[in-house]
Amino acid sequence: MAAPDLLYSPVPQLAALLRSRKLSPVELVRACLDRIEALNPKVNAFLTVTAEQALEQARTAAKEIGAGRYRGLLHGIPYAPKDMLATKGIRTTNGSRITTDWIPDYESAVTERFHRAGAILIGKLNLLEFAMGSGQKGLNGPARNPWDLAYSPSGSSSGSGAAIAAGMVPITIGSDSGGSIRGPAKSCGVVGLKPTYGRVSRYGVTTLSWTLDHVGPLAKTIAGVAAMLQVMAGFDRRDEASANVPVPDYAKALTGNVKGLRIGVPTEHYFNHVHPETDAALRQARSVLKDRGAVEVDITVRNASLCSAASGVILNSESAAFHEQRIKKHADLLDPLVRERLEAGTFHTAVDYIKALRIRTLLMEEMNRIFQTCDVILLPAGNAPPRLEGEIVGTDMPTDPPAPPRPDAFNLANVTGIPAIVLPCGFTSGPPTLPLGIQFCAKPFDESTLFRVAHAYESATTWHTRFPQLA
Amino acid sequence: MPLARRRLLQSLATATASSAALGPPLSAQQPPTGATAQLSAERLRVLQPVLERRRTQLQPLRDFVLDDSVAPLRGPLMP
Repeated sequence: MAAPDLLYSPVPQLAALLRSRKLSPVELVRACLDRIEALNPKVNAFLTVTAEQALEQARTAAKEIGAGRYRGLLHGIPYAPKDMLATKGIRTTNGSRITTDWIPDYESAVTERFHRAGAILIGKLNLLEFAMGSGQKGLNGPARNPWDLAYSPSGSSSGSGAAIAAGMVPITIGSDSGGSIRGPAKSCGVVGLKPTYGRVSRYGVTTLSWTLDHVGPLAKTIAGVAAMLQVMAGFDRRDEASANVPVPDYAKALTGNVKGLRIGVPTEHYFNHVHPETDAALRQARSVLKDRGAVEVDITVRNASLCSAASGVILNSESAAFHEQRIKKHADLLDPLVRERLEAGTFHTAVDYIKALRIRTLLMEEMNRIFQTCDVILLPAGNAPPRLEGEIVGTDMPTDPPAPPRPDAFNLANVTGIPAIVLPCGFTSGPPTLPLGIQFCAKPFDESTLFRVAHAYESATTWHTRFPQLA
Repeated sequence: MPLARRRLLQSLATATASSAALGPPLSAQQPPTGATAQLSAERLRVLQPVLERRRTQLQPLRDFVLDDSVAPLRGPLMP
């Protein structure tokens, strides 16, 4: 099988080829490295490529698989994490000039688990500086959207989305404190999961917000993301938020059966001001699922309009606290917009911050109430198609004329900790032709139901089989 | 501290602490403390529009009345 077909293959297919030795991990890694070399100058998804180490790991994997010591679905599969996950002995920049030369002497929990699973680290991925949202260019310039290089892949896990869409690597890892996995998944036409808060250890991941940070997988298909979560999930006492909750067999969720599944659709707030093409794609997606036996339930998320404000106070306060010393000593090395956001975060009062946390409690109770009436919630994955690079504005930036209030459909899952998944649901009419995404949320620790509904939708559509035409 | 800087800080503090429930704004006679103390007058000028925008975004949160029984949650989630 020739690249890029090989590199766009779903993880189970690659795993079958590797396990049966019809494909060698060394061949697969070389295919990735060739593709990265050819495309990274344009896409800028990778900040660091660990070619020699990857080939060494691939040779080890080939020996192990050949000797019958197969570790599981990720054995021999190349992957790359967002460059906020510490990788021992390998530069970890956080996308910042402040830490551009940092070489950790410890490994993040997630990359440690991937190593034990036999996955092959191929490099570190581009991101927005310290994951500080949209509008910043980052350490080495922005990653580009492989569907149209003039467009942004969204952030902050920009390289994580772009690398999969470009066929550079089959699976990546990102972080999500306000949509930073799901936004790139939507804009790049791939699958991205923000797991339940505490489901995946954040040990070794640079903090943006202790209350809102999540680490999660991205891949071309639901099966890939499920295979990754199987490895990533589990208790880790080194993360104070890590939940000691059993990890189910996520592969069992990939049945395609959604008969009787109750899909909660908010009647207020979240579908206001949605881009017309996004709205049309979401309506079509809802029809697909209803045709397969799912039922829709009207829901109202009470106090939904408070979520963005609460999220903003929590994130801005906690990131300012985390970066306190960097603001004091290295402010001149920060991107100007990141510096503004961090410095402005020092002005939030303790009362505002605690009130935001109390609103978080209220919204979590609201989720508990809603999930008595439905199994998943359907939301837009952002309100609009991807933006042109350089036109990204953060919530702090003014626009002229002022933009209408746009409900943020990503923050709800960060603030309440519920799991949320985004997958492709169509494309804009163009030109250019850009991906559109759909988002599902489920109750805490019920990633299995997310995989069930997402897999059913994916099985009934072909969006996931498309990939951009890059030279 | 120069009076102009004290007044700018006071106006910023007022801009971000306008609710009576948060207590009185910083006095012009009091020096800034904590994290804001390190910011120069120039940085405060740069930040003022950002803080104004955040105040607008923050107002619904400040206006919202919470029941006394609602407490901030701590620790990991449970199923």
